[in-house]
Amino acid sequence: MDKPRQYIVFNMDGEDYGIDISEAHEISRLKEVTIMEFPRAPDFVEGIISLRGEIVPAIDLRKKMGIEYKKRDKETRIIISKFDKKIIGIIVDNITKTIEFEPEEISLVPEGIKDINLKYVKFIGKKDTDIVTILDLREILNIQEENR
Amino acid sequence: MIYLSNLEEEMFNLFIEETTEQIEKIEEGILSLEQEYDNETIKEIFRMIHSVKGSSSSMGFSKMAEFTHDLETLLDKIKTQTIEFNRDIVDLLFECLDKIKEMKTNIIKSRSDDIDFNDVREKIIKIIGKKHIKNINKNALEEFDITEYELLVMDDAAKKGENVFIIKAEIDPNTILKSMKAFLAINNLKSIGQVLRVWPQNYETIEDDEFEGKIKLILITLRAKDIVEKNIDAAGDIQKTIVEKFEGKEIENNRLIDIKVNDKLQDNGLFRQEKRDYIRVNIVKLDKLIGFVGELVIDSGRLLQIKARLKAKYKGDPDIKELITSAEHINFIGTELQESVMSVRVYTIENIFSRFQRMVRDLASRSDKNINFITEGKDTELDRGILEEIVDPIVHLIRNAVDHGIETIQERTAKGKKPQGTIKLTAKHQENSIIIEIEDDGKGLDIETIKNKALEKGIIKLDELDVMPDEEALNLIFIPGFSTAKVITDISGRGVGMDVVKTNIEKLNGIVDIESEKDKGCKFIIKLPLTLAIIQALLIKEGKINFAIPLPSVIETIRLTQSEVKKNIKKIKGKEAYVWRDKVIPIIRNKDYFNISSNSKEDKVFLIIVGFYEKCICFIVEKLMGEQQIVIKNLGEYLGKGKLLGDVKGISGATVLGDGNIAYVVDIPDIVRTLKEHE
Repeated sequence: MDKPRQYIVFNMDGEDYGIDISEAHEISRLKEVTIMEFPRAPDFVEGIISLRGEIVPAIDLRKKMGIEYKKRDKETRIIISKFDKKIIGIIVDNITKTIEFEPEEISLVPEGIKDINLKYVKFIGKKDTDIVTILDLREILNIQEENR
Repeated sequence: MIYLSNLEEEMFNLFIEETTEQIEKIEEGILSLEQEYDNETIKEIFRMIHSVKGSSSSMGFSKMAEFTHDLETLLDKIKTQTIEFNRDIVDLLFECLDKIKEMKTNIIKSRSDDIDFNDVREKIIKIIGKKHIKNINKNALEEFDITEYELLVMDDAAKKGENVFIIKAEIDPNTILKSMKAFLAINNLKSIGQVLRVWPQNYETIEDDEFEGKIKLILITLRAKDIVEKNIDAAGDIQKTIVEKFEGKEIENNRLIDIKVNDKLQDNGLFRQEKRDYIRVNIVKLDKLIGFVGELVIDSGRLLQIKARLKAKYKGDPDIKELITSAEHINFIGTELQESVMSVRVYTIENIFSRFQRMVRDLASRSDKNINFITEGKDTELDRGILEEIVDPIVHLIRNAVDHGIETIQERTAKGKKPQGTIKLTAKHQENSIIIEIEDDGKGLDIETIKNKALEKGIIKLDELDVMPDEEALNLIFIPGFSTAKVITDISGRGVGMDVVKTNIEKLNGIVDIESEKDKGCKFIIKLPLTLAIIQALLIKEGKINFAIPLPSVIETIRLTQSEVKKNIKKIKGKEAYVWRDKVIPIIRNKDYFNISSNSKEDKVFLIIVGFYEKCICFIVEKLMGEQQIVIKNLGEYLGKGKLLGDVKGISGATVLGDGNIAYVVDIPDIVRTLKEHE
């Protein structure tokens, strides 16, 4: 990782989380999409949306990470991600900004921190006063890295 | 494997596609010859073989070219009635065709046609005489190091009636710039025909002291010998010219094939490419187009809904009026477009029927059985995708009919049946479905054997079996694990059991059923949707969730009030059942099956009888929303063990409805199959 990389940042319960911008295909307001509940799917699956005729499953990030439920509001966004042939929507509380981290501003999760969600965390990014937990979307969405 | 550039790849694919098509047509031809000899058919086969020869040699598959050339010779003998046409010839033709198929398979697999064909060649030689094969006009061509391909080109040209000249010329050794003279002479010849090859190859640049002044070449031209000679002489300083006519590979030793002047026109016709009003289209491109058209139709349906709302809202507004007119027109065009595009993907079932004819013939001839194979409805049109997928199941069912259904001649005679057994393959349209039936008049399925085997394999318990009606017990053969005998099919080379037959059919949103009677015969009935991509579906709503049930699965819908439901629904061993047409069928409540929370206060519910013949279930749903055409989208990327949506049973895909909402396509066969697990 030599070049600086950009991340989309959102805030959940006061903590900043980031997703690599190359993994986000587009971002929509939640109220702009209709979600159809998918019967008998795992709890964190919000349902299916139709994105210009494509069938896209959407997940609730809070539920997936085991964070307490928060009421949806006008800030709620859905991030559309594309992996190989799969398109998946991720519902987050908001999108606050984008941030760029130099390689030296990225570090692994410090030892000693014990969290059940640790496996979803890729790196910690630090810049001035910003501390962003960068998430591993492939791990969260359970996407096997077939082509690598 | 050799790396091919895109263009080469395309050429290669085209070659394979064309060859496959020609092989199929040749097979049809031979089959029809077997029924009745017809010279036109021989000519047709000849034309196909010739075309295979041409394309294979131009692709560099010299063995295939060589072999098809031998076959051409044989066909020529048949055509000119030099040899008698009989059963042996038919067998030989089939054998030759199999050889070509084998070569083609090998070409696909490893880009090589290196298949030994000497065994078949020996047989051809035996029939037509050794002399006529591989008899290259040696005297004239001896010193010529020509390739097989060049020889084929020469042979073709000679047959077409063009003149093929083998030319030797000597330039005066004292001439300076001999290569210049050679160039002039050859240039002159190029103006009157095609110069196939020149020896030495570097005649244009060769230095005088290295050049003896002798050139050899092969010329294909329509001009006569004296014109050719004049053209060579015109270069000047030519000392000696020998122009020999090449008459074709076999001519010398075979006067019978000598092309007579009267036949010339007709024979020329043989080699002309059939005029075609077709273009080849990549199926991926076509499917993409069909997908887009499907979306367009859905969107235009949506437009109509908006139109209705706007109409009510802005009564009399001239802009709205115009909008409505164009929306209606778009809808009309969309529907027409869809029909036209779909018809492109549609093939007649005849394309696969002919293969079965051959298969039954071969299978029967290997056993002590006499079988009359009848096909009906070969003009029935079917989506190409379905057609390809349905071949294997039909192959399997026909094989079974031949191997296990039809008895030997002795057995039949002993039973007092006609010695000749009949297998009938029928295809027909029925409403929005295609019905394919495979029927034989053999011994029928032995219900006791099936029951015993199912018990033995632990597929079913004795107490369950005791209450099971015979019609249902027949279906046990479709359960995975029932049939352990792996049958290797001739066509696909893969082993399939009856469970695979059923799964394959269900993958196409189709259903299969059996009717059987001891010593009367057995009948398999396959019901398929008209197309793969777009199907007619019944839309239902449960709570907030939309579902779509493919119409081929629906037998009947019944509307009942809650009190009627109470009256009509019976409980058997704690499980709900419904009496329908004197039969007790299990009930599945959609709401419970998919675990949907709904507080519907509707007094009425809908009973949808789904399934096929003996295997029906009663599906209870909250709301019926009507019928609609839907484009099924696969959820395979997300559905299944360890995948995002989990291993959810009973849903085979999703579709986007006219209003942009989503509906889940209910997988009825899957629900019926997993009925036991669910309970």
